[in-house]
Parts: sequence; C-alpha cells; structure tokens
Amino acid sequence: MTELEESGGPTVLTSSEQAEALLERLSQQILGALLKTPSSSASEIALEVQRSLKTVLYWLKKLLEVGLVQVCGERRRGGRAVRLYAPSSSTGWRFPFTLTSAATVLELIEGQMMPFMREVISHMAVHVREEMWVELFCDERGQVQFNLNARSQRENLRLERTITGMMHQLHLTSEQAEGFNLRLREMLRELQEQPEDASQPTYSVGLFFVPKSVEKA
Amino acid sequence: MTEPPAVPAPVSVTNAAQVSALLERVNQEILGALLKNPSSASELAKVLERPLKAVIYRLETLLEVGLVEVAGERKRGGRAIRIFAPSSSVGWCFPFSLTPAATLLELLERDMVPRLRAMLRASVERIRDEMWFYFWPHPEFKTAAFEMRMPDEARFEHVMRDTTLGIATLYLTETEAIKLNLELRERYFSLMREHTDSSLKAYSVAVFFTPVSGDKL
Repeated sequence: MTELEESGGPTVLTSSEQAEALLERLSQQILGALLKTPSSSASEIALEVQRSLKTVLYWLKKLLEVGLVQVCGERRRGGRAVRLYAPSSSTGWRFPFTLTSAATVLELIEGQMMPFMREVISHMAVHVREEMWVELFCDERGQVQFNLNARSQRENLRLERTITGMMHQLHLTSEQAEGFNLRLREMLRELQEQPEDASQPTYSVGLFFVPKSVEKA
Repeated sequence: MTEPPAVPAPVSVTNAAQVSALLERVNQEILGALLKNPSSASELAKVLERPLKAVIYRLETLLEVGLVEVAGERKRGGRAIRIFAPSSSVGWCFPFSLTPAATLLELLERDMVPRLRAMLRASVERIRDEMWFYFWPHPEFKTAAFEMRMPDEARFEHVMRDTTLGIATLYLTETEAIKLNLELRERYFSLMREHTDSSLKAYSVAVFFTPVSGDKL
C-alpha cells in the first residue's frame, strides 16, 4: 500500500505463462534471491532458498524458458563452467489479474495468506498453559462473542500481554468505514516501522478489514 | 485471548449434547440473536437471512438439549406462533476438555479459518478484475515482495478505501512486544467502541498478534 515509484516501475508481463510462473512460490523465492543478488549460480541460489540443487535447476530452466531469468555470464570452477543467472528485469514484474483465471486469483490469495494465518493460529495455541474455556455471550454492545478464556485472571492477563486474536462484525456508514480503515492502516504502518533486527524474537501481526459480514461463512 | 467477558459470567455447561450444539456456527448465530431478542422462528430466519426450515430444525435441536426455551406464544391469524428465548440470558461457557476437539489448535482453526477465508474472498470479489499483481524489490522491504495493487495509484486508494489485508513480521524484544500488543489491543477496542447500528452495512474486522519464535510448524 505504499507509493509506487514513478521512475520505471516493475516490467509489465503480457503472457499468461510468465504470470503463472511468477505465481509459483518457489519461482518467487528464486526470483527474489536473484533480484537481491543478480549473477548467482544455481548452487548459490539453492543455498539462499534452502532447496535442493536439482529443484532449483528445474525451476531455473522453466524461468529461462518463459524469459523471467537470463544467463548473464559464466564462472570457471575447477575445469567446469558454472552459469550465472540474473532476473530479466531488475525492477521486478507486474501483471493484471485478468492475465490469470479468476479461480486462480482467489486460490492464490488464499495460498499467500492462509499458511501465514494457520501459523499464527498454531502459535496462539502453543502459548496457552491452562485449560481454556469457551464462552458464548452477548456483550454490552449487543454483539455475540465466541471467546476463549482461562478461568484464572492471572493466565488471562498473561495471554493478553502476549497474544491478540479477535474478529468482530461492525455496522458502519461508508464514511465511518473509511475512517476506520484509515486508522487500521495507520496502525499497520506504525508496526511496520519497527526496526528489523533479526536477532530478536519474531512476532506476526495481521490486521484485516473487509466490507462484508463473514459470520455466515 | 479476547476481551474479558462482561459481568455476569456466562452459565457453565457440562452436558456433552449442549457443548456440541454450542460449537455449531449456525446455533451460535441463533442463540446470539435470541440473547439479543426473544423471537419467533420466522423473525429469526429474517434476521439471520437463513431459510425458515433450517432455522426451525436448529431450534428443535436447541430445545431438545435445553439451550432454548419457549418463552410464550403470539396469536397470528388463527395460529399460535411460538416465541423462543435462550435458557440463559448471560450466555454459556464450558471447558475445552468437554469439546470433541483433540487439540486447542483444532478448535481455533475450526472457529477462525472459515471466517478468515471468507474475509479474503470478500476482499477480492469486488475488485479482482482491476487488480494487478506485483512481484518486485519493494523500496520499503529488504526482500522482493508479492503485492496486490494497481498501476493507477489514485484508483487503487479509492478501491481499497474500505479494505485492508495487512500482515507483517516484527522483530521485537519481549518488553517491546508486550508494549506494542497492549497498545494494539487498546487502539482496536477504542475503534470497536464506535457506534454500531445494525441497520447499517456490515463490515468485518480482525486483528492478530502472536509470537512465532520457537518451533515452526
């Protein structure tokens, strides 16, 4: 949701083969590694994406075929020539949804988001120490709540400090909704501005807002 | 994991049939509506936008297990219409050990995954024909990022004015994490306290924050 850089944005793709190749998780990892460090050998990429050399070679071949990757040179190692790869665009790529099938789009967004959400949910469960209680009640705002809580206040306070997981339904005017959405984004932006120090423990954050009730899902 | 329940505390349930009925999403909707307003079956069907037949079937089950009672009758034409009310006006609760779920994770997934999926679906269904995929070395990220956006930035902002799908990974010390999480909760609750009028359009909102260090799934 950030400003698109005006100067030479990502290259526009026009073939659905290219679009489909770009939608594959492993292609993305390989291309991501090459965007970061162009002129890498297959074994360097394999190390970076933590996959077997064979798998990486298979995908590189595909990416060469559709033209997302190029051979940019060779390096001599022992007597052998080692090919070096580079992305066909240093600014990345973009393509319209219409280049893929509609079913693919939904699958894809689910494929991108659901593994993350499942991981979040599984970590929530890991941090629970005492037995949880399920509660169904109507809160003071007239909203039905389906909650998990521990009996002891101490355990609840501990969990509240560490974990947040809430879903609600709201009824708003479109002006209220836009204001609400802006403030959620502001929260997300502030969170993303935290320094990225990979030596610290990792936390996942998710903020979602959609113009629809999902209670009947 | 969620906001502590409003007092008085929900009634504790120990009966297995009641527990499994309470875990069903449709029953939760029906009981939720009844907690707000005792109603007839056709009123419920209208509020929940579900077929009358399905609502009556569920009401019979809920009557049988004792979560719902007939609170009275209303005469309509020559016919008597039953008015249903929840057996507890403060809701219900039960320990996790009484649920058929083998793990807390299973219970959480069952509750959250369908709704998250519906949120993703809602976020794309209106807009997918106009959307573009970007895979590029995002100026703000250190690695290549996969994003949904539009070449026309103003149009994108307009389309996304009431939609946010944001996830982020943060690296934090425990103290920072607690501070951020509590802040996030506080801001979320202050947003939630805003006026909710059920005649207005429904929106869904969700927030997650969890440590993901340690064993990955």
